[in-house]
Amino acid sequence: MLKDITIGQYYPSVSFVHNLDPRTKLLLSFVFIASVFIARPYNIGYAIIILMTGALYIISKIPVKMIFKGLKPIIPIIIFTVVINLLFLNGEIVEIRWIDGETVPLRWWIFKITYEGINYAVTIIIRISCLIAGTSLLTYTTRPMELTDAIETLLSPLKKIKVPVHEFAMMMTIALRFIPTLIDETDKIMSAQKARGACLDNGTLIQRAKALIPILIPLMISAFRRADELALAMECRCYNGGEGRTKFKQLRISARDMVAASVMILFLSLVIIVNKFNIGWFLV
Amino acid sequence: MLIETENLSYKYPRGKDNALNGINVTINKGEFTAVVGHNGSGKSTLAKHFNALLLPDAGVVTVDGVETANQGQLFNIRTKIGMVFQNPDNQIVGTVVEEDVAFGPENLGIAPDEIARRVDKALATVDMEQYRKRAPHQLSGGQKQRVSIAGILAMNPECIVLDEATSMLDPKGRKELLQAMTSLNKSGTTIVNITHFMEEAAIADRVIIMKDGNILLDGTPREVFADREILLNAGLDVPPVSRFVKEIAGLGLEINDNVISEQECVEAIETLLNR
Amino acid sequence: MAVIEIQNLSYIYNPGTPSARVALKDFSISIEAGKFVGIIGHTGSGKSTLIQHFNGLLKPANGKVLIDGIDIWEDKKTLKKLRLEVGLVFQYPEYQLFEETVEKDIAFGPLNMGLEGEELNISVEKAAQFAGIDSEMLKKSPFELSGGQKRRAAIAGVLAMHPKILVLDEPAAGLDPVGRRMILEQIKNYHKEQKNTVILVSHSMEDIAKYATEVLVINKGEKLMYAPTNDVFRQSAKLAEIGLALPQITRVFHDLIEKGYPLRPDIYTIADAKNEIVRIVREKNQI
Repeated sequence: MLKDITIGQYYPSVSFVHNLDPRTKLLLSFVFIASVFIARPYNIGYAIIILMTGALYIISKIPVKMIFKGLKPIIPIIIFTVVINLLFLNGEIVEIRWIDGETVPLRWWIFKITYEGINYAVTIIIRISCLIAGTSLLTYTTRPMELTDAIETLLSPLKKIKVPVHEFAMMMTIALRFIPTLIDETDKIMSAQKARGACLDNGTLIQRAKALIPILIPLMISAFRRADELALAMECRCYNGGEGRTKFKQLRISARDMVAASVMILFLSLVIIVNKFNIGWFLV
Repeated sequence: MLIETENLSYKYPRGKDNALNGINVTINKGEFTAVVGHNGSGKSTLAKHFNALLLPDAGVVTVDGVETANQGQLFNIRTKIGMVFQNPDNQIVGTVVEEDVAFGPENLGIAPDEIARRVDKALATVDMEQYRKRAPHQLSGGQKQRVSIAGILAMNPECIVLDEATSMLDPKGRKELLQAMTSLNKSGTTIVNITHFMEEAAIADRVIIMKDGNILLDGTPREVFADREILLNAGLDVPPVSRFVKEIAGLGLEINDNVISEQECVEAIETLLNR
Repeated sequence: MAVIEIQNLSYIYNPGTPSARVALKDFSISIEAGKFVGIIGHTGSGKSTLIQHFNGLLKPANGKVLIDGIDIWEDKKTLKKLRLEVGLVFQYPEYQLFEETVEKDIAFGPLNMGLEGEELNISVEKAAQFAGIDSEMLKKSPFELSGGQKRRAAIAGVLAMHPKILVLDEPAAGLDPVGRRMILEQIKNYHKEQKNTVILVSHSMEDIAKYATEVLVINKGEKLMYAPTNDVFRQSAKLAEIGLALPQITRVFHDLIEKGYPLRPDIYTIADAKNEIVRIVREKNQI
């Protein structure tokens, strides 16, 4: 059951976006995030952002249903924020006009629905959804290792001020390498303890926490043993930190990356212009 | 002569007795040596001295004439003597096979296009090219060990030391790994196989039997298997075929009682039956 | 009566996904009480999947598992009880040790079963005795023991639960010859004294030949043979065909048979091989 967890959520496919340099994708993701924050709901800014998000998924050949898969875990958070804002935000209270001409303000006990609340709720839904969809696209189209490489290269100027960038990247790599192994191991230890009559799925909270000890201790010990042996193996292969190291896989910026960057900058400018001149405000 | 130890003694910081007692051994270039002994015999401790993972308490270890205690030559020594360990899972660093093979050369600061060439060659040598883009956890134990060998080959070593590298493998994986060792040796790489399987000793050119930190026997498999008493005393035994012909000879039948392989056993019985 | 009966069992890993893999298909077997059964097959043949069905760690996609004639999946209460009748020792069981002392670790299973006081102490002591763990070792932390000792402590943890059926997956893997022999001899003694059913999964044909009374051969999720050890080794050509590593002595005899020597094909121990050679030499001398 633990094997169902997919790490990094890479979605293998061949597309323009998949083939981009991971550094380009990482930087452009920030451009996208900035655009989402700059855009306002009172003009066509949000329409542009939603269209852009959809277009990016289509270019990446990632099924649109993957957007919802990415959103799933945060749906409760969205609902919670939306409900709180919708019911509690101060402002002009919405009035409903009945057929007989009587107007009723939407207010009950401490709850009220205001125009500001509605606006805010819509803003939140669109903003968070686009943010998640946009950043998920980065992990859908980039292998975790490429991402680690990109982070290491982008942050490498920090090495000059003694930030251990290489060590951080190496830790990420090893973590990515060993997660499947450790998940496998957890499964095995759980089976073994179950076979010894361990009860893992019922009882009070304290009982359940206690039941984890026979799993966590062997898992920790094994992780330390693995770390020890891996360190030895790395030593044998002349690992000595990042200094003097070369890279087998060279990251290369190509024309493709230039095109992508231009498109994203155009998009950002469009959002800024729309925002500045409030284009399309009359639509709302 | 590639590796030489002179009166090598070593005691683990928390150990009671010496793990190695004045070992004198020479590994020559191009040899295929098996070092056999039960757990705690000192065989792995000896292996760890070959590439300066451990340094002697007393005595000297030299690799190609360079003392392993010479810290300035550490990379040089470890490039010459590569090491494969027991647990296939715990020695692969990369998340993709080819990246793992490139790990050693990257550490040595070799140019990227040269690394690419070496990775290709190393993967071809251990017959793992078609798996180059796979994640390690998708491979079988035998395949993982072959990736580890490729990772060492990419550093252009003189010698590969395998420290119980077959002990966690199934029969198929073990066979694959032994084949890889034999073919590497044929193409000139010195192999030291640390093991507790006598069947593996039989395919080596030379067998060293260890017990309690001492070398008990050192010779060709034929010479070593001839003395079953000493082997039993060391917690080991000769392969079943050797035992079998000895028992037949014990009955007073005329048979070549010093066989080390199935092939020889078949021949010995044929001679007996055709007499 | 059959102590374990498997009826038309099928099991699929990751059903309904692209990585779906059939591990067992339409598998049936009936194991009589008190036998020493060896299971052989390649890695991935379905051996491990099968033994995890014996104690209900895996639930069959199709088919039934009966222990002592009772379907273990009939209701939840019987499952819990029946699971404890089958002691399952996994590969590298030393990785499951976690308590402060070996004694406490061995007591983990029996405690989960509700044993206490004198009864608990006796179980632990007896299990330790079978596994060759002395009283000094019992007081130690399991992490201070040697590899072979850890392995035996872990096996004792299962023996202490008094399983009617003891299932061991590669109990000697990774040990040196002395450690191997010790563990297998202890299992043999346990079988002899307790008269319980023992099921041993092993890649080593030599070990299976030496200890098992019956052998189950699994290939690609299907039962290839289940028969007394002699009968299985008589068909060793079939075993070789699916690529199993026959005992060295058997391979020698097969080579000789192929060359036309009139030898028995079901030789798998040195003692038998010796007798066979003596027989044929005598026959020849009489002519």
